[in-house]
Amino acid sequence: MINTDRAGALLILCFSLGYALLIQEITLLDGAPTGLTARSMPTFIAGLAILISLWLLLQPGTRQASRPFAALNWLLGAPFCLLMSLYGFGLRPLGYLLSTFLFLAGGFFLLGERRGWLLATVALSVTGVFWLLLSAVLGVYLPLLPPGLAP
Amino acid sequence: MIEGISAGLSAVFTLHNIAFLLVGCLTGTLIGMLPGLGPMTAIALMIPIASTLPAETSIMMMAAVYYGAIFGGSTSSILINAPGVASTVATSFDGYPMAKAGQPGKALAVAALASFAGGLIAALLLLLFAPSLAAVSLSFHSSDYFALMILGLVAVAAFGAGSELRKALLMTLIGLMLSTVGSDPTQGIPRFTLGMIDLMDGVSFLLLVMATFALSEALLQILRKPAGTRQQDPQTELTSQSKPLNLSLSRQDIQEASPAVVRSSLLGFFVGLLPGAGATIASLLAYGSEHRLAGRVRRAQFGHGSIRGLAAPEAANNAAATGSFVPLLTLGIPGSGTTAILLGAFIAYGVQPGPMLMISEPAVFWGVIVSMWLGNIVLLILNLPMIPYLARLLSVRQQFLLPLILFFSLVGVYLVSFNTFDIQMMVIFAIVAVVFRLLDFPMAPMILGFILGGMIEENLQRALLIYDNSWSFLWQRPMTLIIMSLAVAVLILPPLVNRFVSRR
Repeated sequence: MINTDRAGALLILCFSLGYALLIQEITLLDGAPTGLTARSMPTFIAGLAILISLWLLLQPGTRQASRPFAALNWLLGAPFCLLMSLYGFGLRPLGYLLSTFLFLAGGFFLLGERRGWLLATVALSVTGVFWLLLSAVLGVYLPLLPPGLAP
Repeated sequence: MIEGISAGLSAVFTLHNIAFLLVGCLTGTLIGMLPGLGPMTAIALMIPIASTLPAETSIMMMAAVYYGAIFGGSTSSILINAPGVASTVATSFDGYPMAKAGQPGKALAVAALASFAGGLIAALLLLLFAPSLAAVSLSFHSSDYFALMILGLVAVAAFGAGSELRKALLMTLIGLMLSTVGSDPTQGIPRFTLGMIDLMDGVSFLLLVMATFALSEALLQILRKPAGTRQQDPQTELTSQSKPLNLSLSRQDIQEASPAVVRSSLLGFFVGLLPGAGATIASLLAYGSEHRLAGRVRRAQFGHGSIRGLAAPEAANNAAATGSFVPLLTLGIPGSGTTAILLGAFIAYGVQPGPMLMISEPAVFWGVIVSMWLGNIVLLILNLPMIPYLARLLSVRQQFLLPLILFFSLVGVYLVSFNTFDIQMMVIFAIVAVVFRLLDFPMAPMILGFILGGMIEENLQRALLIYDNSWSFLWQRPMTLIIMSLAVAVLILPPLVNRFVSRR
């Protein structure tokens, strides 16, 4: 029976096998100063990870099967992942001000805030105060506006 | 030592450094207070800001964030029975019943004073131990470092048994795998870059820490919100009350708590020295030992608002946090997940903790030690009276708080690299971290593996060069042999002891 330990072990086993396959793509140069090459440590780590994940996967089941993913609100989590990714894509073309405002306002909205004035005020205040903190106190410059509109 | 202390004092007592120490204490307290967000998240969130500061300032600030977060975690344990971190779970055993019985101010004062005393005693011990250990470790060679790092990896991973041990080891190996992404340290050969230029420098430590702690924690809290939530998050009477709390303690209270505080501080410090133990084990051990030491009448009060039961874990967890700086500062070996993140932060600021730190960066070495005294005084004098007001943060609604945490994490990483590829990587790492956290796989060993991976490879290369490509250093050099034997013992003994105990 699959339980959380085995599910995790299976994921790590797949990752380790993929990692082990990629080891073959590491170019080897002549004249390594020691017996260790660029492949040595990855090979050792991958081998050990495959062995331990198999050990965890094949051990007699002691834990009850649990469903840690069942009660989660994926309809809320998935849009948040998308929102974060969109923030990454929009930060440069839209500029810090607009992209951050949209990200925060979108986040507040997704989590149930429906009062537009409150949502906009908090998002705008945080965006502005953080930018001021960065530029005035910490001396870090972050382009506020999109590239075409920047002064 | 006198010279060192005066160097530390002059490093700390500048307006700039004191200001950032205050910021660290306050921010740590605020973040640590939020349920689910502990010292690791607090430190991760502050790394981008700290990276803009001079090394000694940033390190003092990060240390302040660390003990500020532990202090903050106690507040949420006492006021709403929601420990911000595992190390303050024991605090809630007696702190919350005391607060519920109408004495929240007294409970907070006991916790703050015990934390203060624990931090102070441990800082004194740190002052005594760290320079001696640093002096001994000056004779260490690459092979000894290699062995020490193996010990560090194994010790943290080995603090479980059975499948927990295997899970911790697997996560350590995942961290080691991630550390190999980028250029090979000796010949500069690209590894696991998938043809992407952005991966040539490897995976950023900050990115990994922020994604696996701050971002994944916020995502988990979002995922755990019931569908269609529009309700206000519950506020407790204790966090929303407007009248000031009575923080005064009677002489009898102090007399009762004092011996427990001294014992627990010593216990906490020495537990904190051990790799893998840390503040959680220290606080639970202190609570357990005080429970055993108490007489029949006092023992009955444990769990119902005992002053000793509250003071002991508070003193121990703060002392352990300070103790964990000894291996970090002197050997460059992190003893816990939190100090692993701190080690990564040190390296990111261009400071290499280890035996040479005391000689090459005396201002940093002694400054951190001295700043701990000052930081504990700050926590007591400034944060304690402000606790009733800071605790209002606990009533800030999550629909505002969670997007803000996501924003600070994302923009924090972006500010270091100015590369939007990092944001996409963070999202991917955060999703993977959420999956593993749901499957109950620990994240701290992965961070440890990631940080130590590069160092292990470098030190092994150096040791092999010195020993003419022979592995004989493992048995020919006594120090290496001793440390490697310790590592094997740490890995093998706990499961054997567990098996023996369970058979009996």
